[in-house]
Amino acid sequence: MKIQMNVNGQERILDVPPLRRLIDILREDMGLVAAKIGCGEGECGACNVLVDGEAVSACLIPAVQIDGCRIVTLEGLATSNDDALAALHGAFLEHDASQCGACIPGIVMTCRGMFDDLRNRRPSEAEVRGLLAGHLCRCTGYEAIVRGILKWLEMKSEP
Amino acid sequence: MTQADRNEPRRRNASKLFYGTEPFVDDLPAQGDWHGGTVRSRIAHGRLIRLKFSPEFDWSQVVVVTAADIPGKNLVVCHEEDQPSLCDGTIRHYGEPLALIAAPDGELLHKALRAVEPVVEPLPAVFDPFESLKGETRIFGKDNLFLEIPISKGHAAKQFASCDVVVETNHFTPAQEHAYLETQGMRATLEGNGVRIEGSMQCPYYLVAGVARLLGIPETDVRVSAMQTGGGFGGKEDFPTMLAGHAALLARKCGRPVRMIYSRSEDMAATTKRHPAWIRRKTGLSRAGQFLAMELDVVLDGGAYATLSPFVLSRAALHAVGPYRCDHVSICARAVATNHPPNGGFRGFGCPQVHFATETHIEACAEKLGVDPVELRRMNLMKPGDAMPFGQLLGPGTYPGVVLDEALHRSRFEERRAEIEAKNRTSERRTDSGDFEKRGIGLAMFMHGTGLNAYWEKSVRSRVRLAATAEGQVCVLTAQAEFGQGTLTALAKIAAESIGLADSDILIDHPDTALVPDSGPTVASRTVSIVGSLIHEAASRLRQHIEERAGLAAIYDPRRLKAAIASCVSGGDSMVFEAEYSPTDDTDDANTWAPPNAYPAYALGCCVAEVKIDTLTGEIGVVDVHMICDAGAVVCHRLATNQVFGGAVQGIGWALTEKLAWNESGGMRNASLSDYAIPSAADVPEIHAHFLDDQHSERYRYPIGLGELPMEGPGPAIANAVAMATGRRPRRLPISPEWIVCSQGPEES
Amino acid sequence: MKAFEYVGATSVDQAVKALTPGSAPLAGGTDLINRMKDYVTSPERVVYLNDVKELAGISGDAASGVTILAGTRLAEILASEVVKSAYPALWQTTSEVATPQIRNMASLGGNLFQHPRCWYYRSGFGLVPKTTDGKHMLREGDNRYAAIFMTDGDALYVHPSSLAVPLIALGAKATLVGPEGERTVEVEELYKVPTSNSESPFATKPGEILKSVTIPASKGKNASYEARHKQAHDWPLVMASVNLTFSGETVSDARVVVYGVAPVPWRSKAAEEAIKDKVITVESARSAGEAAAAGAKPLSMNGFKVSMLKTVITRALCTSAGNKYWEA
Repeated sequence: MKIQMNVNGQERILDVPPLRRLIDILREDMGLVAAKIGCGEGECGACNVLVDGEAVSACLIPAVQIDGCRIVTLEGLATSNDDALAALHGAFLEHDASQCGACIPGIVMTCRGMFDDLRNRRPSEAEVRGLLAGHLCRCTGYEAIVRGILKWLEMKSEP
Repeated sequence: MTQADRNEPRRRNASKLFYGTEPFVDDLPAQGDWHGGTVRSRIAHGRLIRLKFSPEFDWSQVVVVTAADIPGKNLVVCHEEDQPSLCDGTIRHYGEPLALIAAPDGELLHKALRAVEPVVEPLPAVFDPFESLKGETRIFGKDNLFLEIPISKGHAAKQFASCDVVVETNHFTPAQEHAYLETQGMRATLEGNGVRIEGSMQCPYYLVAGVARLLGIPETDVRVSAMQTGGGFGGKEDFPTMLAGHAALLARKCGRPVRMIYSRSEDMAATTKRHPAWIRRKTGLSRAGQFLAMELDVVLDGGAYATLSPFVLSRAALHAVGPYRCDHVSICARAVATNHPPNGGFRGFGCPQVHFATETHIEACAEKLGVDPVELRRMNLMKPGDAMPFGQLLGPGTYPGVVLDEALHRSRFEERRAEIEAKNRTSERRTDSGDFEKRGIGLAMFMHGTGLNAYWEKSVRSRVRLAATAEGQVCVLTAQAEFGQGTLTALAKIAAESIGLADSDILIDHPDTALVPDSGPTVASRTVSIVGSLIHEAASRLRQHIEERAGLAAIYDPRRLKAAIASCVSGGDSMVFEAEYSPTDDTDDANTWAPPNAYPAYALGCCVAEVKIDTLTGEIGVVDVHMICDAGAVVCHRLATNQVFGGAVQGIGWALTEKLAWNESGGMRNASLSDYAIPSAADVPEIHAHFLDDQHSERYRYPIGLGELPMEGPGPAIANAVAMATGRRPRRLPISPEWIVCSQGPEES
Repeated sequence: MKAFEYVGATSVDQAVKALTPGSAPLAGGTDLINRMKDYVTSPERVVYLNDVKELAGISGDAASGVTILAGTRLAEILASEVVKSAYPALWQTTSEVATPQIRNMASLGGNLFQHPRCWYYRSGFGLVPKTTDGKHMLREGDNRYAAIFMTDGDALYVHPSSLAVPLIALGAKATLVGPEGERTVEVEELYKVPTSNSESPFATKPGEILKSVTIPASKGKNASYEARHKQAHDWPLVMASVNLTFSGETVSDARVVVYGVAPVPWRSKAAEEAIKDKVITVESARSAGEAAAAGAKPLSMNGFKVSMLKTVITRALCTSAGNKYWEA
């Protein structure tokens, strides 16, 4: 079927099988490989991208569901002079939040997707852990990621 | 200044990892690659009569490889030559590869895989190692015994008679899935007369040997490039040899690049796990609490093929007694074949299993004697110069007691324990069936010898190379893979400091066997300690050379040094320096599995864990974890601290949530990340990590392997905390809500 | 996955017409796509419902009752003030389903009609998994997560929908649309217990889809309590939802429904009887839990669930009444 979507600011029309997964469309058809496939069942969050501004697991989304949607991948965010992303980058580097790196792009997308909400809420450490519950990481023990996110939110709330 | 604030380089590829631009193998552009897949057995044991190919499928669209297509030896190269690359007629485990298929796209590949039906004749299978030892079902050799390692010191059997107290306990630790976030993946391309392999791996040179042998071509015709690897934890130590062989066979048959990327369920069902272990521990003590005699039986379920079982068993045997002194010890360690898929390397490599037994057994001893388990430990901990059961003397500066004291101090252990004891007593006033919330605090000591054992470290003959460039920079060339531990960052820092160059003037990349010498596998916590010391040696020679050539003083600035190197290289000096591992001690030559000086140094640790238990629902929460580690000099504090966090959480998962279930054919039943639960951020508390780092002691001048160590503490520490909370000692992991809730739960295995 | 025909529906009418036998409806897709990928389900036709505008949204209020359309995302249910304040049993349970990302996609209908998590089912052995020689794989095998009620029968898995549990407790009704028009049933009546692998676990008629769920006006107090193995993204082990109406201090009517103990959401009439005409105290709540456990027949490995059952009922009752079960 033909679907129309906006990927990282560009209008695209694709002819794809209706249940082809968004992650395959991005990775195989469009060469956008920042989102990774960790589990293929929405458990690990490594494939998270933004669909109409919300972080969702691209391994669970069939093509039909993104017809007419606005998709932003990490490639798109990285080239859009996004201040919040740059600040998160700084915080993650400072805490060495990435180890093998397979889970990180998905976590970055989730953080970015929740940014406005997080900035207003100033979540506690426990809340940040809860927000990360849709992500699995086997290297870091989450400690550096959690500290990085808290640092990021602190950085952003200063004028 | 906290330990992590020191001025040290950031992780080299951190930005690329953050933006997702550091490629993993499946991120490589398609380039016309075909997709490879594996036809697997669904039975545990039997004969493969033939493969039935459905006539409804058009087989001309794909290529199929069976054992008959293997040009070289049908073998996965490892220690024992028992594992075929593709089934040789006898199926020995669920998920065993029977044939390979490559297709132009993934969808067609799946159709083809489903159109093959193995015709088999099942044989009785055995999944219990004790059953297997009876030998009724033959899997390996005459007796299904991969290896037995006896270690004996003094006269344990006689000594028990004169002990005041004898305590005997049984322990079981389960299989564990690595659950690296990137599944196994490999790409093979025909290149010249040979083959090029790119993929996810820990040990590039293992793949060179394996692929060459399988294809029957010289090792020089196999080029292996490790990509950024999405976690390893030992799971990408031996298995990639098999996968690279499969990809190479398919590439050769179809004449195109072939990429094989396992799905999560295939990865979990087909690849290795941590060895389940059955451990019996018997200790005789004096009334005062001195360990007088010990007897230990360690049995590992090795699965259907030997793979790394002998090596895991060796480490388990050598660490079986833990950091304790005892003059009369008898250890019998056995790795046994069963019809489970082969178990292999996993962070800790036999140590988590034996430390769990030791550290929970000691608490039982203390209870029997009526003494404080902390005091019982302190009384028996080794000091430098004390002998281990296999003869090695604990090295200078190695003080387990200091690690224990630091842990007690930092966690306020005794204070917390008293508070919790008081609170647990008063919680009886609570009304919902009485005392439903209990807390407990527990600790555990652990230790980990650095590198491969002396015999194997010597036989690897690791080599590293440094090569200077005309710009005055220095390339570090080793075979060490980067899978999140920070290999590239730490090795570059060692080179920069040893030479005196700025960190940015050190060049290092993922290993490519066309360029790097064989510095051995990226395993056994040996990267920074063993390979790092070789880099230090080569770097010192480079520096000495440049000092002599350029007439520089011993202290100078990095920019002048860089200019001097540049001018040397431009002047025609090749400036290549190598170093090779050459131990001076020959005493270990004959002893493969228990060499008298097994490891050059031992890293030490102590974990304190506090748990909160709802005794009615069985829910267990870990509320506090302190990890005190002594791993000699810490090269990069930030990276090392994060290794400790990650290892600790893997240990928490092993202790509590990671419950591996087997199907009727001995394969993993819950082969998905939704059914096999690794901890999420919400399941673990903030973890406190601290390194002992006494700048004045000789011990802290050199790094000691750290990678595996932190995994080894939380299991027994949590078990001991649970014992305090519930009054029942867990003898098995994982500790489940079921066990907490059932008052008649299985205490002993 | 197997080849299938795809139909995108834009109206309920179209959807119903397209849903011939052998078809599967697709909404959030989180459960269906995984089952198709693993060949657990291989529909000949997939009917896409997300573009049916008349299927999403929440309307009504606490005084007159609330209707949630089947395509409503779980995240929207969580965002609903009326659900949060008037139906905490539902809100609490929704907040504990899966992960934030999945709640952004998963729909109410998808949750109510998800297929069991049973390992044997997911491995392709069906809902009544038996070996060729007739041995029940779950009864004889690893049954620690299986049912403790109705175990004389052959369906031993546990019902997977956690949202069905508070909805049944709240007395919600489901409106189904099918070839023969609309009909309204109790949410309880959506499910049945299969006796063989050829039978469905759903009591819907061919071609029927869920249109909406209507929760009656909130009169009393309701709450859910769940016990789980892992804090995040896991199905509960055992959970209870309760809905109580009071006359003065005493309970005049009670509904107690439990997750994780039977192949359907388990309505515990025994617990309801036990708490009726009582003032909620920890003691009376505990007696209701004990009453609920009386008829349980656990399998070889899941006796622990009996104790959990008592506890979650006790705590859900205490929570609903505002009694702190953790304090004296």
